[in-house]
Amino acid sequence: MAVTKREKRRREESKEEASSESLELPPEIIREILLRLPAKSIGRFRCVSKLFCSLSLDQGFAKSHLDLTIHRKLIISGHNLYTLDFDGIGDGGLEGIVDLVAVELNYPLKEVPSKFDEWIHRIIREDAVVGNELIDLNTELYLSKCVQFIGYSNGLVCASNSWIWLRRSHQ
Amino acid sequence: MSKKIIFESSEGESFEVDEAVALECQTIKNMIEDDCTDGGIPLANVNSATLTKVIDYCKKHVEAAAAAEANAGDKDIYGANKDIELKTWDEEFVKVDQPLLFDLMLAANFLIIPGLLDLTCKTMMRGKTVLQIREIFHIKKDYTDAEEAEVRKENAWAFE
Repeated sequence: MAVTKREKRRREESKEEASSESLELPPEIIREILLRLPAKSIGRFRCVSKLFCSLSLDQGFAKSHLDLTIHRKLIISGHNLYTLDFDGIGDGGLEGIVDLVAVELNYPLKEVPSKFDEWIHRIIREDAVVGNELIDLNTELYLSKCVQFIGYSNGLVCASNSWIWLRRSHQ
Repeated sequence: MSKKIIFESSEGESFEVDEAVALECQTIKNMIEDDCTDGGIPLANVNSATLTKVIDYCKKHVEAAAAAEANAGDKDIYGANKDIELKTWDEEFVKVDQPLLFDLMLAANFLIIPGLLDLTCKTMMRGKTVLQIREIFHIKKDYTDAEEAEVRKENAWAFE
């Protein structure tokens, strides 16, 4: 009979657009919906209601969410961390042209490159010493930032920032 | 001649579909395997309008799967295939009003059609703000302003 009620309500709703009657979605269905959303949306929708919040903080939720979304993203480490939409790989765009975009990730301790460059240039200019090492000014010094990928577990990525000195002599 | 399955909507209307189409619904698949589909399957909580759409969806996806199988290995150099056409079709398919989208989602959940459940859930929530979600689901805010601000602060990363 619930359906007939729903059907009736829909007819009523189409008559008067805004019905205040609750749709009374059971928590299991809200959970199903939330499970299918990206992490950011889930975080945002925690503000919707206490139920939305508690459902997404439930113990099994993260695991189920991961099971549904697993393998969706490819993380590439290099100069920074990037993600690639895994589902997009092998997909053609509208013209049959692959349109893959690597998105640069924002993550804690991500150094602002310009600041670091400034700092390192100042050191070189001022005393030409980095650490205990005297820089041979005839040597070009390359500083290359890279993110080392250490491991992952349940969708949590462990990465460390490091800088590699690359030196190339003029000779 | 393929076997037919008969669905009966909440209004008592009968819908005859190929067994292959009905098999898209996990719930029905189980019933077919248990051999208890004779005399039609009553779907007391799915109305005719929704059932018509659900059958359209299953038909399209069965056809697409068959076509993909027939054309396997026939992908062009970019790896493009019929997926794009199907995705476009899906996008058009869910351009319906909110109540029907809701009913489709509930039907997909009840009949266990993972693809349709995914599609309807994502469509319903995509790009929506917290306020819009409350409006759609007719949810009364049960946080105090201070509580909401706190939850928002804890999840600030999600609002960036």
